[in-house]
Amino acid sequence: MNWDDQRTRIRRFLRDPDGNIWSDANLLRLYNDAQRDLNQTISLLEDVQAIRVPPIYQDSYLYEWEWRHTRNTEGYVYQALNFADQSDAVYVAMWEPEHLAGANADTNDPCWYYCHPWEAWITTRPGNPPPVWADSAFSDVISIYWDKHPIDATSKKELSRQDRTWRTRAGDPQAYYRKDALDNQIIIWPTPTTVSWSDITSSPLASHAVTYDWEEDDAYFTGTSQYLTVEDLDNSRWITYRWESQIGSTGGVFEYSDASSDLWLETGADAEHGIVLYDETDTADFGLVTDAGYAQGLTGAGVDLVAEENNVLMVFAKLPKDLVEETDISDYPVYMRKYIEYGVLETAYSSNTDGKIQSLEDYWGWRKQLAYKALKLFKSKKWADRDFRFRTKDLPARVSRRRPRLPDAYPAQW
Amino acid sequence: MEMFCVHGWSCIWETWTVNSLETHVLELIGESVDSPDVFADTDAGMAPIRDSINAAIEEISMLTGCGKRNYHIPMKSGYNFYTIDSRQDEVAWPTNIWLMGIGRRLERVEFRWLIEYNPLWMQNTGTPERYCIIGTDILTVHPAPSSDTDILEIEACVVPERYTSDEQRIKLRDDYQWAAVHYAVGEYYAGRGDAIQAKKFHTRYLMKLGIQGLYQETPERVWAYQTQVTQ
Repeated sequence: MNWDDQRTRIRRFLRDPDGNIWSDANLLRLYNDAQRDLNQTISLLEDVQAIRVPPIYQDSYLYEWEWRHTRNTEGYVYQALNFADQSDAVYVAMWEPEHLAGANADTNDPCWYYCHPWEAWITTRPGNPPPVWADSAFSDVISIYWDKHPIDATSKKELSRQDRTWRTRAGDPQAYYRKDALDNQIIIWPTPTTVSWSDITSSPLASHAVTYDWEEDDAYFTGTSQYLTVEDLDNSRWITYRWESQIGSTGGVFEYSDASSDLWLETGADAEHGIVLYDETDTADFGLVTDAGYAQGLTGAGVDLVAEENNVLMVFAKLPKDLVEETDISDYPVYMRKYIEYGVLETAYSSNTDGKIQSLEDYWGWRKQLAYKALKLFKSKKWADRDFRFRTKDLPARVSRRRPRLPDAYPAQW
Repeated sequence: MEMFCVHGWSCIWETWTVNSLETHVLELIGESVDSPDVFADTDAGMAPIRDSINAAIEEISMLTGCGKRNYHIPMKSGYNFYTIDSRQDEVAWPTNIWLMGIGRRLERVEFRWLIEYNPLWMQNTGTPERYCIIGTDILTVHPAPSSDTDILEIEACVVPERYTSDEQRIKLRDDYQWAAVHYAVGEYYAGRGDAIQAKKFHTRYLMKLGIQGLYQETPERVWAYQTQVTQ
């Protein structure tokens, strides 16, 4: 049952089959709104995912204005390096702002900086702790592990108070913190030193890249090549991005922020030009590891297995993903999706349109409230197999807290 | 349209069928049973009514757990997490999980209990002793199996998959099937814009389902046991 099916049913109850009052786009927004409402009230969705460390390729950008040109709707994008607000420039090493400000640039910063987070694991001493990304549907952490060991939540404040080398420390991860609640970036401390590169199954587009057409000749390199540039026939030159051709045609007066989306190299009929390191298919759910091979060939109940060794494994409460296309399917099980529709119908009938009807708004609101109560009962039913037992306060707790800790007398105090 | 007895509690062969439920809906909404003019006597014509009956079946099954199925999942050495991907019906909640080879019932625990009980639980391998459910469909076992040689038998209450033809079985207890009819009639009136009738029939559905306690009229009242010494 996809969005198209659900929309048909919603339209039947709205008595607006042709969309004369409520447009498809309007209903889709109401649906996504109702999904969030259901999630906030019932919170049934949870997931387990292994997050690849290092994360694989993703779009990076330097300036804020570049963000809209990235593929931010397909996954996370990373703002690389460092931005100096005073000079409106992006810099690499920490002494550069000093230089830009006209002072002596004597801040010692013997680190490597990177444009893509995975590059941090190539360097020996990354200047900033590299982030990994939780799933885009991530809401709250329930439990998080590195290589099957639990890691605790902390904050940058706590880390910087206890470890003056927190930016560059590497070792076995002990804790994690989140950059903020806007991006689902997770920074693991210390930066793990043992990472796996072997779980990336991408096929490279080509063995080498060429700039000019004469470089394609096998006399220089054999094997499949891929153009890194595109020929600008108007100006008789080869350029990396198509918007660069406008610089020649407009006499050099061109704002970079006017660049269109011609920034990326992709395969197939939609080929654009730019720079990319991995196949475009890697952008789908990038960073997440799932080994579904074991499920193939099974009938009845299938299983998906996640590879958690040398990766971050996260158990988390998740948000329902917004639907976009007619073929999109809600994250909720089939038997719960009608309850989302009740919310859509209530809001649609209450919106200030020609279709506003108070009695039907009240009716679907009543149905929605009944549904929420039913779902709460359903949640309690899920404990049917639990063995409940009464206990008096004098008996020892069944739960034994076996969290490892150092002896009470450690370290020795004098 | 094929007809079946709607009073046939004593008739073994006269069990409820799809047609009988849909026929009863048609009667209640004033549609001609012999030659319906709004809902044609075809799978496509009956789809709106079937959709409502299916919705009722799902809700009743979800609330009562009236249907169960067994699922079998082969264990994989070293793996704690298994997604239950139902191909028939949807797992609502497990009621018993049995480790076939060892002959052991797994204890149901909560995930948050597990990580408190043993923070290093993912390090453990051996014979699974307990399980928990994450979200709606992720089965987690502890310890992780140490070999690929065992199978879990999961007995679970299920939400039946939707029927689409009058030859498919209605997976609902007989005494709940009346309730499903009233649910569908209520949705018919809702689709006509008659909120009063829709609410009336949906209330009948709730009454026939016998779970009015869930929808009590005075939910603000708190019921509690009290001893004589308690103020």
